[in-house]
Amino acid sequence: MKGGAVTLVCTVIICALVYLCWGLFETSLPEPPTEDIYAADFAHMVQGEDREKLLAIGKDLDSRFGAQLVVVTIDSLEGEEIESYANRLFRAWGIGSAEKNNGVLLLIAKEDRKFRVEVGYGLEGAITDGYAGEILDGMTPRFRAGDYSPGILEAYRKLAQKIYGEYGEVPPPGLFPAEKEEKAKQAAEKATAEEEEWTLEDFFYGGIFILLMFAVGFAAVFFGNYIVGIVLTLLFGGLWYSLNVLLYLISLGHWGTLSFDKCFDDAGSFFGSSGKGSGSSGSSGSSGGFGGGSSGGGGSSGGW
Amino acid sequence: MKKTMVPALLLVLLLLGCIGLYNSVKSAKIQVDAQYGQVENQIQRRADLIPNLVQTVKGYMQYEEKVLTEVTAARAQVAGAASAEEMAAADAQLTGALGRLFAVAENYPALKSDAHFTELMREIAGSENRIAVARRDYNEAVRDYNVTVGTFPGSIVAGLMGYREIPPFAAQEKAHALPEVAF
Repeated sequence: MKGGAVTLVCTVIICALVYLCWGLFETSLPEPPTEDIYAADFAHMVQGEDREKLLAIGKDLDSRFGAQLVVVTIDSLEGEEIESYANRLFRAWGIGSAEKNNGVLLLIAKEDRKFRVEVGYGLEGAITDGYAGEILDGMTPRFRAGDYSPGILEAYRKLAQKIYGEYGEVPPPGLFPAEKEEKAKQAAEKATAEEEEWTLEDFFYGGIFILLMFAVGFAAVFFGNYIVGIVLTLLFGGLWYSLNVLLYLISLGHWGTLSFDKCFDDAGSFFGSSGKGSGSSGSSGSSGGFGGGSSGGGGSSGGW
Repeated sequence: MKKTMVPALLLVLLLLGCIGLYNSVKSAKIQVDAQYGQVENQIQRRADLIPNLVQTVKGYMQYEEKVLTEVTAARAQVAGAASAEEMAAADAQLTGALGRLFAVAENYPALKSDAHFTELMREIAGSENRIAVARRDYNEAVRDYNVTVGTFPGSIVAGLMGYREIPPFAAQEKAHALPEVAF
């Protein structure tokens, strides 16, 4: 009888701890924007007209190739290396499409006077580390003079040109009509709705199974057979654990990107593309209007 | 009839639980192996840049034979590494040798302004960051694996499968920092 109770208590405590610690490993990153996702200007470095031009290019790239070229300005890195911050941000937001990993992040930390171009796997060939470094070198004199906004726009254009080149297209001469804006917004709303749902359900299932384990354990102790108690708690622990793994997979976005209407649209790609759902790393996912792309740390860093 | 039903049902449930556990342990191991492949790729990638670098540098610094041989030797060691530990050691050695090479390069302004050298420096810095990212991913996969294998109830299945905890990829983070350039 005692053995069953002890096993039960230990299992519950361990499982509860593991469950609670899940997802608490990372420190704070800014929330991904849901509007104008190509310029997340937290440090207010891009001025009105430049911002409009930049967003127009970003939208065009996204709607045509699914490539996402994103500028993020922040006040401070809070002591973190810009390389690791950029990589975490890139993956947490999921810049670029999940299949092509064709995102590019231009991160600028204003107070640290550091910047970095981080390139997704899919564009490493188009934007080499050397070229990324060149772009940053081009920004340096402007940044030193305090002309942040034009410097950023210029760098953005250079990067965009490489992406157009990668897909064998000529950059459009003018700006673009606003019809693509709606699409991006819709996608953004859909993705945020999905994410919030899953977190709730996670807690829901977790709670049910902890209660179930308690119930089973108490029942066993009540009947005085501790062997049955051990077996049952073990069993439910195992079940709970497997379910957790399942939920973990789902919340990661492996299944979240599994769109069922695809089954009817083109039968050929039934479950085929769903496996590649969330890039390659354990911490990646998609949020906001971002596609769930990942990066392996390609690119270049610098300062001014 | 009731007496036989209950154990049978329990057995089936237990079996199902075991299959789930087996799969989670196995998939954690597969993740670890895949991430290790990434680490190796990136280390290899940096090593592949070395011959080009040595060739470029040679023209500028004739009197630094020792630093150059050191870099070349370290590169050969990376190519010949057979195990994860050897790979980590060889990579750390290459990092150290490159650090010394770049420190020496500070004394050659002509070399520093060479476009090809600048490009190579950037590629190597990029490669180093890729290695760092791959190593972090690997260590994260190892941590997940170790949690699965080391905690109850996964530990039971892992014990039966003969799976042990894996040590994370160790490399001195400090050795990775390039010498600071003062303006």
